[in-house]
Amino acid sequence: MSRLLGVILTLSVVSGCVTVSAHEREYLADPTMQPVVDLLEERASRQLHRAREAAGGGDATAAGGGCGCTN
Amino acid sequence: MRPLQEEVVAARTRGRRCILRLAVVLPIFVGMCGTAPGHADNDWKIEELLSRFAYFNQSGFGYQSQAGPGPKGSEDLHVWNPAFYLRARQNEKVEHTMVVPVDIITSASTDAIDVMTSASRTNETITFDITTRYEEPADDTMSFRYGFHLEEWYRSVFAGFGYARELAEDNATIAMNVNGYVDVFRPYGPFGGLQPPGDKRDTRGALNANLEVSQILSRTTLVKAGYGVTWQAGELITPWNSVPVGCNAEVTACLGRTQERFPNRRLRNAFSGLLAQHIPVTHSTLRLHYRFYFDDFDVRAHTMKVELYQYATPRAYIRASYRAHHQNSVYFWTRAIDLVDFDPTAPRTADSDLAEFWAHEVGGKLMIYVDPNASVHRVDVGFTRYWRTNDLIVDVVSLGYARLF
Repeated sequence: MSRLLGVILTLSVVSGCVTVSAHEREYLADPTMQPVVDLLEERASRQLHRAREAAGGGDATAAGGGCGCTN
Repeated sequence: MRPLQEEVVAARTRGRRCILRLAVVLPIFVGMCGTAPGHADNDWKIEELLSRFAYFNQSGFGYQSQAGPGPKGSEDLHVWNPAFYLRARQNEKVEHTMVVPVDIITSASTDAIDVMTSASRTNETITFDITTRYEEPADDTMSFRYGFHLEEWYRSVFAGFGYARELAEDNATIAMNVNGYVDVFRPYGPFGGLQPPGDKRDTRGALNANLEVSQILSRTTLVKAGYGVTWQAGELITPWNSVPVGCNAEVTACLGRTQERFPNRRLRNAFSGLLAQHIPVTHSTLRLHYRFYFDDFDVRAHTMKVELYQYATPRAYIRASYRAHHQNSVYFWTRAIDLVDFDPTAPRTADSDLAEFWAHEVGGKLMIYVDPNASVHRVDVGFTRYWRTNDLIVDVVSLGYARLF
């Protein structure tokens, strides 16, 4: 976990030096570069894993709520 | 008072009719909205419509199931899953999104009522998940989330609040949200009746908070990191799950079964990260995901996923993906309980989903953009295979259609 925090902090510090202006975001505007590429697919995938693994929830969705098939 | 079986059948019929009615009415409603004029500033306007149909075919075995042939029972089931997403703009500052997934599940193995009475061979569910976003000033967005979930034996409501702020000329975004859930359900136990007898309903609740930061690193690189915590309280079991009791050493023959039992509190934590890298030379995008999860049931889980998107033409791409997940079991997992040591008050479960295992998933998808009459249409077809090292395989076939207005 400390490694992950280290990576996050390092990326935060490094990224502070970079500013990409709006007209330079041609590649970032590509659908495959969005934080969520296909909302319905991601939701269905999360549901598949949440109902079949003990490690659901905690990341933007709760586990054990909103569905009768949670773990 | 009517016998339990009649009551169950009547309740299921009522619930099924309600869900089917909603599933029919919703697309009609959406279609009518889509034809409304959207010229004036304050007119509602549909901006995006997604639909997806997926079919799940699951096969496998788990000790919690009574569906046979042995103490390790079948987990076979099929799921038909149509889902709809709608994004509508009310005015310059207010936008609404609605997600409506429907599940039609054959649940012979997981539904205790089927095992005991064959009263039902299918279970239908529907969820309405609505988010309203308010953007004021331009860099700040507040969101309100609300909705409900219906199953024939189960009801859930949820609500949440979120805030997001764009920083550094929109190069970074920080977002946080808090969500609350309340579930009410009839506790059909592993022996077909309410468990304990006379217990008409059980409840549980969950509170969830998330913090997420995304950052543009270059013209082709985006990173995202997040942390989420979920606190659950109430009856956390799956009420029909059972634990074999008094078995031989190989757990191939047992004297009986008992209901699983959980602590009534659980605290879950998850850290997640995403790196998305576009490669202009090859017209491809590489996405790497990692997630670390831990909770106070002693579960530690690591999940890694890699996705490669490759454009074949400017209007079509293929995607290949691989996901690996490892978890250890909850501290009270067991294949079977020894009669000599049996403590009826101790936590116990034989649920294969809560055991230690590796899970792997491979998938492929073809996405094609078509653009007649200046509207954007998108169709996709995909296949995913998910398998676990403790006897579970799920195949998923999906077909999607999207339209941007």
